[in-house]
Amino acid sequence: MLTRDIKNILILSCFALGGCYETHQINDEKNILLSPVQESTAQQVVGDFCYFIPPQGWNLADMSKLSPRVKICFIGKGSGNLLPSVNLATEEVNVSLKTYLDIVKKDCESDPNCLWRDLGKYNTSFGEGRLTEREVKTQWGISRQAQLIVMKDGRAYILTAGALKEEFSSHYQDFEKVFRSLTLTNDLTTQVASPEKKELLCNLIGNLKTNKTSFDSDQFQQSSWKPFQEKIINDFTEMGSYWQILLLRDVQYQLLQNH
Amino acid sequence: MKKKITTALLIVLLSVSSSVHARDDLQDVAKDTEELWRTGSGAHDGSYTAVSTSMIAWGIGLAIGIAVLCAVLRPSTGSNAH
Repeated sequence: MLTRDIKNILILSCFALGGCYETHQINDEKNILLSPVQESTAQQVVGDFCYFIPPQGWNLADMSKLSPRVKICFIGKGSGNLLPSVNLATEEVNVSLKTYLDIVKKDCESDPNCLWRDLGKYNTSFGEGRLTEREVKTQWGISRQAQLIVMKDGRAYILTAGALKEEFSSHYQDFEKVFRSLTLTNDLTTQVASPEKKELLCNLIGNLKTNKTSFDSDQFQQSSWKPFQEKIINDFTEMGSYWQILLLRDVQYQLLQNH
Repeated sequence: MKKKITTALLIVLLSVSSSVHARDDLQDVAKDTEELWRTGSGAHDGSYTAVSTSMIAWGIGLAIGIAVLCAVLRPSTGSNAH
């Protein structure tokens, strides 16, 4: 009788955990890229694009569960309870980088579980930023996070790379590459290094734009849009998943405006 | 008489304009305070996301543990019945 009760409790716990698990579900990267991206397209397209290249093989976190300020998050593999992750957040600001850092420092200092320190200047392709570090105590261990903060035209770009404190050094090289790859551009196609690939990309986009079929039509989706998506996903892997997502959103937005 | 009317009008005008200015100033202060209060939330959200999205490993581990326990308990229920 007791065993049956325990079993029932465990089964109920499984259902409850299933619900919790769902809130942090990791999506398959391709599914995200291939699904029609309607929401926030205009917001993403108007203005500059900020992106980074995530480490290879890392999974995309469920974007619908993220804070509106966090634009993207990738999760890697680890042996501990806290998996390594990288995310990019942005925020409109009207203060200087120094003031912003002071606010962040005070915010962390007010939390007894948070330890903050300034690691110094960090040069990015769009200006000088600041590299900072946080150590956050959680019940699964200490999460160490390196946070790169860069200000540009009234907007703060915050790239956070975190892992379990004991595992942080093993991910350091990956994190360093991620920080180096942080880019701000108003034209994603210009970031492709190979001239041949850049030309190919421009031609592909040009062909889509000259096609007068409605974007939502099956014919356009099957014969033009899906092959284009596959091309971007398979032939531009060196640009990273986030660049691919942003490019597809941008082109989709432009096509919806044209058609 | 004319002087009195002008003086009264000036007083009314001054009092109204000063209260309007005061209200505008208060609104500006409120706006600035709110902006300052929100500043830094991007860094906070980034840090929070780094922890919250990473906890999936813990959730999976616990779910596996519970599933294993369920499987182990099933045969023991059978033996108790007999």
